[in-house]
Amino acid sequence: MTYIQNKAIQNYVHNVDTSFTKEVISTTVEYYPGTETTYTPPSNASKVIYECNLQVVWSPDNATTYLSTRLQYSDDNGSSWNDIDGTRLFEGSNSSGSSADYDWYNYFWIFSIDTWSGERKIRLAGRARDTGAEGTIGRSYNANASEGVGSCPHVSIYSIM
Amino acid sequence: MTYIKKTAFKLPKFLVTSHTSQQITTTTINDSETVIGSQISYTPSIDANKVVYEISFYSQKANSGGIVFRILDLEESSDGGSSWSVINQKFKKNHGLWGISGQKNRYYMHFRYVLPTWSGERYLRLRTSTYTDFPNRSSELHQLTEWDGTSATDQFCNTNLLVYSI
Repeated sequence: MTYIQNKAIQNYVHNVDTSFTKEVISTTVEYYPGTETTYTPPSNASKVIYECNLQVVWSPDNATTYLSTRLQYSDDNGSSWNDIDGTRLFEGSNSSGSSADYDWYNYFWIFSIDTWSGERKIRLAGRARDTGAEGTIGRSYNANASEGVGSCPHVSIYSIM
Repeated sequence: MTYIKKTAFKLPKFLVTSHTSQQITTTTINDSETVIGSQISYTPSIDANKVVYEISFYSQKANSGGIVFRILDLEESSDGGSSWSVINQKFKKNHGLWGISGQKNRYYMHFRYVLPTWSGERYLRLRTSTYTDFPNRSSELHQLTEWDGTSATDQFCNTNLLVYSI
């Protein structure tokens, strides 16, 4: 068991964007909507923690979904983006034979990244393995068999002192 | 987006629920049920900006063709649990795997919600409901029916719930 003193966590920022709309992720690296934050760590932070809970859905490819996801940062207000080493993920599944594979994933990611000085934008981005392995960020479905309004990511970022 | 400077988690409230039986979720159309261990009362810190609700529980589908699809909504009650409403439709979660008959799947679920704060006490709970067109897509919660390489009848995973103010 680990105990964390209150002073050890600072500058808590969150992003829960309920204007979110779902997004199909294809084969070029693109932003996962609703996951961007602008963040300035305290000068004496030792690490920055980025947490995200989001939903990835099988559509449009019902046989396979594989996404290459990575955490990115921008030091120029979003003009250019850089992958953060050690945060790359490759997740999903595929069916065997001709069977369909309608998977609905809920991912909860925690990334502990090196701190920095000044303001930086942080976001998740990714791409599908190929055009037969695309997925949709934040699609939701209702119990009455109708399309949902979307499931927005819940993002938090804070510093460990 | 909100910035909260030099604060940490406040008024954490934990609920750990141990289980002695499996919860097979409802397959009745237009019905829903509470994930056992997900209901809690909470009064946010008076200076809270948000409330975080985090829950972890075990889910599997090893029977009935192995196909599962669930709709999960976080609900709130401000009258002591007499009436409930969905907090936000965009907080809806879906969980499932279907398409290959006979497959088995097992997961440790973890959901994290960052909620608008409120004043006074409210109850929160996670409801799971079935899918109208295919009501056989239930899930089997809390019990592990295999353990260390053999079938099991006495293995259960606690439901862990944490709520705190930020």
